[in-house]
Amino acid sequence: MAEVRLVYPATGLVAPSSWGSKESIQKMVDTIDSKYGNFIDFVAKESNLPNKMITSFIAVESGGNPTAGTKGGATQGLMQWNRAYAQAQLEKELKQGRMTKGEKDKLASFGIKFDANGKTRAITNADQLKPELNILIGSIILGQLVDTDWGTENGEIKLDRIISVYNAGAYGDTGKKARSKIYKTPQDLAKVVNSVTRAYIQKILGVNGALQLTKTA
Amino acid sequence: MNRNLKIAIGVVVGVGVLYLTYRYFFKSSENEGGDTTQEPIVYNKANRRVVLVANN
Repeated sequence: MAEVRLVYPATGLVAPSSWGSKESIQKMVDTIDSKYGNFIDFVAKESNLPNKMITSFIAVESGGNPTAGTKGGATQGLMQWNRAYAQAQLEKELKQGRMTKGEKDKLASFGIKFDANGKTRAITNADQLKPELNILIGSIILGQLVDTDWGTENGEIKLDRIISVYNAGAYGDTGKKARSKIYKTPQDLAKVVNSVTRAYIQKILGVNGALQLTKTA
Repeated sequence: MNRNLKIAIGVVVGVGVLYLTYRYFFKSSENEGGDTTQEPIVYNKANRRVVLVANN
């Protein structure tokens, strides 16, 4: 087993007060864990990611609302991934031999199966609205970002970079800065990314942020 | 100022405020371009064990 560290909260960052009080954020993450804890437990085990990391992304992306986002929009649901992108990432996960049997079986239970060429059907808006499936696909996407050479460096998960790419894409200005490995601390990266992504980093990694307030490991 | 003009300005400002509020609270993903399909994966997820470290 390769041990990697996830350090939180980040030095010099605080969850923005505009996101809510410490109590309201606490209540939100508690509610997410209460409603979706079983699903989060499953995906955390399959992806070898901490429960609290999954909960934190759900908190920021949707506040735990499974229909968050524009109705029928490309990125609706708990973790707000794009459905065309999700299909490509699932095929990549399978092709690279990363998909666990548990993940594959769970996807199949939602009618998402792979043919002999590793292709699957289009992911639909209805798929995005299913909490269990949404969290499963979100965790697979996050796992891929963690396993890049910029997502984990020197035995430490660089969650600020992962947040930036998850939020803003890999190849725009924010994504390029996140992947550059120039910015060594979350505080440094937060200074140079776009304002929405900066707030996202603060909400997850800041003092009184989702990662700190989520009670699960 | 003409009453209709005031109403029109009010509607425009109102819609603008509503849009910005929506953007701020609900549209947290401002994807600037590109996905990560081509990003090389260099670590093995099956071999990963995450240790949480509280930074006090």
